[in-house]
Amino acid sequence: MYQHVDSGERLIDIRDLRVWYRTTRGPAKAVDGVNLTINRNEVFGLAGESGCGKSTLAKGILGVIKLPGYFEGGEVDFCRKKSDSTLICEDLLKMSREQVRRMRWRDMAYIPQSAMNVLSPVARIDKQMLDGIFEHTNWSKEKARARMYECMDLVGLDKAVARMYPHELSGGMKQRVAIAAAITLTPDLIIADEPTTALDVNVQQVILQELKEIREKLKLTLIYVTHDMAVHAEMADRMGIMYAGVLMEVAPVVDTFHDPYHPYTEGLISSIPSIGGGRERMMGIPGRAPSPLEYPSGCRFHPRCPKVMAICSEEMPTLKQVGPERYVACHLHDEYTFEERANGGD
Amino acid sequence: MWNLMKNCWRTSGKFRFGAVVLVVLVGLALVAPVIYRPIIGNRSPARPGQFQRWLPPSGTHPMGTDGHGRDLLTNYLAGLRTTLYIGFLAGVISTTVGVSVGFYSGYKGGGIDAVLLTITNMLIVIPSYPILVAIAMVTPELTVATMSLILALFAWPFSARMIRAQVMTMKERAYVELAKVSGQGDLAIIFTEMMPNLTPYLLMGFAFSVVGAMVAEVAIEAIGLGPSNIITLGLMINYANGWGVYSMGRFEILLIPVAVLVLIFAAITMINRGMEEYLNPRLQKVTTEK
Amino acid sequence: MFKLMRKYPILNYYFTKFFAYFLTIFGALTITFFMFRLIPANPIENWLRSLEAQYSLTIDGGDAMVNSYKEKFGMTGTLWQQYVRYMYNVIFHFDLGPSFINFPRPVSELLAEALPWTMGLLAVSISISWVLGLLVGAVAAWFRDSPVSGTITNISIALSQVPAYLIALFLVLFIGYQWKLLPTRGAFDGQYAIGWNLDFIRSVARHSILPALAIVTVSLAAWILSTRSLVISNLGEDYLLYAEAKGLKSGDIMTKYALRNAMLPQATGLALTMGSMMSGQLLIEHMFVYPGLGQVMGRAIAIFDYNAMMGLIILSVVSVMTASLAVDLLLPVIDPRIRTAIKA
Repeated sequence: MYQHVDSGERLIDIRDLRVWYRTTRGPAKAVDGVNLTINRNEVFGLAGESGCGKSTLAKGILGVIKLPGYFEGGEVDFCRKKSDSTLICEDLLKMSREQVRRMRWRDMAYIPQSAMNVLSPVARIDKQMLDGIFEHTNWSKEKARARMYECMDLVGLDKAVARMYPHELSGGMKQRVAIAAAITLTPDLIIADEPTTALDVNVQQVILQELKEIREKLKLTLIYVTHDMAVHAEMADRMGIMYAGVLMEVAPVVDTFHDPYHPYTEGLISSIPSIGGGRERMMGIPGRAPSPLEYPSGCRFHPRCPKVMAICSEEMPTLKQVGPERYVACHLHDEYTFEERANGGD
Repeated sequence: MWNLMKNCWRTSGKFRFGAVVLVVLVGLALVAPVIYRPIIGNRSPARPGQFQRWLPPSGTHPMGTDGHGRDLLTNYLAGLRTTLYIGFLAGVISTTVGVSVGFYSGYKGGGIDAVLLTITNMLIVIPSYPILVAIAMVTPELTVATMSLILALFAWPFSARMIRAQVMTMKERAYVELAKVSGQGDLAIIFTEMMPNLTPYLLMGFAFSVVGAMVAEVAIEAIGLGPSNIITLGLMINYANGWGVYSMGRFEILLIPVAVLVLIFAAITMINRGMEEYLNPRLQKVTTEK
Repeated sequence: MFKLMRKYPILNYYFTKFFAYFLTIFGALTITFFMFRLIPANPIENWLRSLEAQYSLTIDGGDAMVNSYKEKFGMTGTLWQQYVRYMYNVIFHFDLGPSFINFPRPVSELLAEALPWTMGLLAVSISISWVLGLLVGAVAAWFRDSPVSGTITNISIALSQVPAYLIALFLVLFIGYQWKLLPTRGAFDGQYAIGWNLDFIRSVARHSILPALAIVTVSLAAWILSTRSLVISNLGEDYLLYAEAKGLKSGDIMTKYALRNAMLPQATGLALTMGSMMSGQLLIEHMFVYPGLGQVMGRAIAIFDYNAMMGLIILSVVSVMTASLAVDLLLPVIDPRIRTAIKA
């Protein structure tokens, strides 16, 4: 039973995106050929071990890749609704830096990985929330302030917090500030990069709940990045499993958990400790994630794969559709010849 | 230490530039007596009246002679030798004192640290030039060694402060704590656990002291307040100013010692920066990201 | 008082800072006093001899004469008595004693005359180099991969440790002698009346350019470098990525986030470098025959004028310490983290 919001509207279409880092030992291919479509008004969970490139992918969509990181290639089409409700899709990588800058925060906002460090230690909270508003609107001071308080209220922050400095707030409060700041301009898309990982479990639960409610209320699209599969189970509509810079599987969240197609997904799921699920032995994935400087030949997962076949070390499987709403990059599913990706090729 | 040098050489162009310049200059200073021989034989380059005054550059005197009838090239080389030697000696003395004080202070902490830190701060705020000059003035026959000692007197508090700061942060590191818990003695911890990790900072502190000592030495010599019995590059500058080489059209007599000094300072600074770059990869252009 | 301090930790902080301020000044003066007195010199006799030579007369009285002058200069009694007397006069009467230079004028008058010139030059060159260094350093950090930034950085590195007097030599040589663009001696032309008239002011400005330029060149390089590395280490900070994710303009991110966070250590650095800037400037003034404290220093050292030298050092130590005290006192006002740390 899953509830998937299929509005039939694309928000983001990523094609063959590559984000590499220049290093002294050659390029580190953090994101190396990602194909993905994000629909409007869904929560998309991006999962994978640390170092698999999911954070880089999130930053890549936002376009905040800094040297030594750079875009090696690909497209990130971002679709905006015009007033006459026609869709305009533009490639963020082809737009000028200035154009992308103007879109940030207004069209796509960001909730950072460590809210502990994202707030400048020497400026008050209100200043840091308001500067984003003033940059993208020509609102009056009163209007901006009113909006700020409204958003703070949504995440359960007291007005007094506005006059405080970051170091005076707890981790949970800082995270709420980051959420409140991200929704001030009601963007189409919010990318949340491990927003609760640094918090303790109780606070994490509360904040996840709040985030979920706010998203539903404001009808935002949310890309939620975390390695924590339990959080995905709770938050996501659909999810993508990333490994070694590419997506291994994309599927609705219920299918991912109940009927994973990719051996790597299986491994990830079996490594979740289940509460009240008896004394089941937890299964990890043997071996270590490969270095982005040097990926294995063929399927990048094959050295660790329990179901490895001869072809796996020779040919790299592509992410292809194997059922309605289901995509997997694995030679085990080569016999499937489902129609080409619904949105591919345009 | 050799490995550190090799790594710095590999990662930093600045380090390579500085090292090459410095090695060339030090090499020149070392072989200077060999260069003297065909020009002045076994005499001291400083002895006046050896040749005709103000000879233009020629085969026998590649840079000509000065107002006291001395060969200029040999005097520059002698000046370079002494200046580098004084800098090196003062650097060694002040680094030794500074490191000992800094280490002791930072490692012991508490009351001893407070007292040593206060004394260090007192010495740092005293402007050193007037006192250096005053000492130099009443000591007519100043030797190179005393000169270095006096310069070191005012240079050590800076390296003491730097080492102390490093020791303070290092003291909190896990491996030092571990060594303490496992019952190693203070000296053992300092030499086996902390020293190896402080080596680059020691080298930087040393370079800093050398530069500081040379800056002070050249300063008081160049403006004519230093001793006149030791030939240094500073003294050469002072002579050049005194002779009024501008009006004679012999700019190079002033420019050469100034340029050599600028090169020395630049080279040492480049080496320092190169090491810093190697130690703090964020300063590098191309970083090794995860 | 202690009760009050426990109640308001900030008072405790201020008290500690003031205590360290006075202690350091007192200690530095004590060290300097004994250092000077331990140098074997005979200033009184030298001075009397120089007077004799100058006015071609013989001063009679011999020892009695010398002793009476010794008394005037506070050089009678044991070293310890001299020390106590000197410190007493300085601390309670602000009396620095007489000077050999233009005897019997007191040292304080001599310094008061020279001080405005030094302070003026120092203020101009420090503020130019600090502000410019911060801006250029931040820009060099922001575009750190561009060749222009690399060139600026390399030139700054090369210049940062070169003493200002070497730069001054170049300036004197080329701008002063070769091209004769600017004056290299003194602080103004004698033909103009001293006062607030345009000619005089223009003359003062023209005379100050070369000495100021010598100081600015070197310290500018140092400020560029330190700001650059501060901002670069800030560039890795998450708050800059966040500011960029907010879609703020590069300029705003640089000034409001990167520079704002780099400015605190730079303000502290400013106070800390005051000392070396001041002693560097004394030499520059000596070279340019600028009528500031550097001139006084040159003359005082030449005749081993204890009192004048002590006066100079007191002035320098007090101003350096006051600058760093000011930073210490202002820091809790500008940095909220320190404020909270003190309260805790």
